[in-house]
Amino acid sequence: MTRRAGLAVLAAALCGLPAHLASAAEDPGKTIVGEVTVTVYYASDGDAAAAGAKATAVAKAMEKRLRNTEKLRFKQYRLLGDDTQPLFRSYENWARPLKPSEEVLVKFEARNHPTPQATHIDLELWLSHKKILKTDVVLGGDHPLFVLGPEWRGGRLIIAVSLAGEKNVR
Amino acid sequence: MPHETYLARWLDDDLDGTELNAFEASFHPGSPLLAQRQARREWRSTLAAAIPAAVELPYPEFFNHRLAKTIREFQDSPPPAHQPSPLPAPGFWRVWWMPVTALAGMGLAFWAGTQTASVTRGLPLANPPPPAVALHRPTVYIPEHGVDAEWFTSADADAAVIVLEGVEPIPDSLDFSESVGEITTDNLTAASENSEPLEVTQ
Repeated sequence: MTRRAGLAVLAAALCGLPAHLASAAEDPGKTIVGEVTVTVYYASDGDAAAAGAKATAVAKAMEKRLRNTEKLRFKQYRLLGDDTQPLFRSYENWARPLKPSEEVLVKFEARNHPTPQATHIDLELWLSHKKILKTDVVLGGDHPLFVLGPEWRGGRLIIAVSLAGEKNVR
Repeated sequence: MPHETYLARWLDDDLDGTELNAFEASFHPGSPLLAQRQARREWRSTLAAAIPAAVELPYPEFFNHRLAKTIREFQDSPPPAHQPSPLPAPGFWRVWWMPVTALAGMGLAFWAGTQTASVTRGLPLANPPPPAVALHRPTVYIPEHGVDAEWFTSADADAAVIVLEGVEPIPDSLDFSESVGEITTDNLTAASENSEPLEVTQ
């Protein structure tokens, strides 16, 4: 290609820019492709009352799932908080399950366009405003992620990340 | 100053006064360099007419988001093991062609970006399917020193599990009573329906 021809191609490409920009009225990256629920449980072998009088009981099915995993097996479980936030196509989003506290924060972002069987997300766990964990996880159907987290009041916090609508996760 | 540098500046009409006179005295009036300079001037005029003075980004929030993410990832990544040796001084042709090549690349990249929904052999390139739940092995990164993570899948719980050890405890003085008050109705319903204690098999 001669130099003059190359310049003509470039000029034509640049002249096309404004038309594309004008047609881009809506941001497809803000499309909601799912919902993510983050739930925090208090798990302890001691007195469950340490979680506070307002902490509620955990669903029976959920307790069974937790107890079925040796590392998550405790005598008592209590529900401390949860948060469901939209999963955007291109943007990250945050869940704050213990609001108004920001002690536990989860940042998530879609890796692929979700299918009915699986949703692949990038995930970060922040504790006390510090990033503790960064990972990618595939959530799907009734398949959540459990993170055995920090100690608190003689027990541990368990952070569950799931797709909103999973029946036995909360 | 090297001859090539003078030549580049002359082609850009960046020489004046004594420098301009001295440089133009070094070649004859019929030199092909005059044609090159004229072509360069026409090229600049073409660009000035084609590129608007100010262009609004199509999705400024998206670009800012991606830019911030890239910066964070760059800051998270470990520093290189050694500093690369400094690049040699750019020659005349590099000085001349680098901006042209960069502009051409920008134009072509933007055009390619508009074609991301295209389909090749029946597979949509923009939306590869996520991996299967059971087969996926995640990448786990722990930025904090002293914190360990163990990942495994629990068939009994039908879940992926990450066990963190060495995390700084949350102060007992922190109270999450207010967050309990914000639990969704679904949770409260599920909890009240299943609040009978389970047999502990520890």
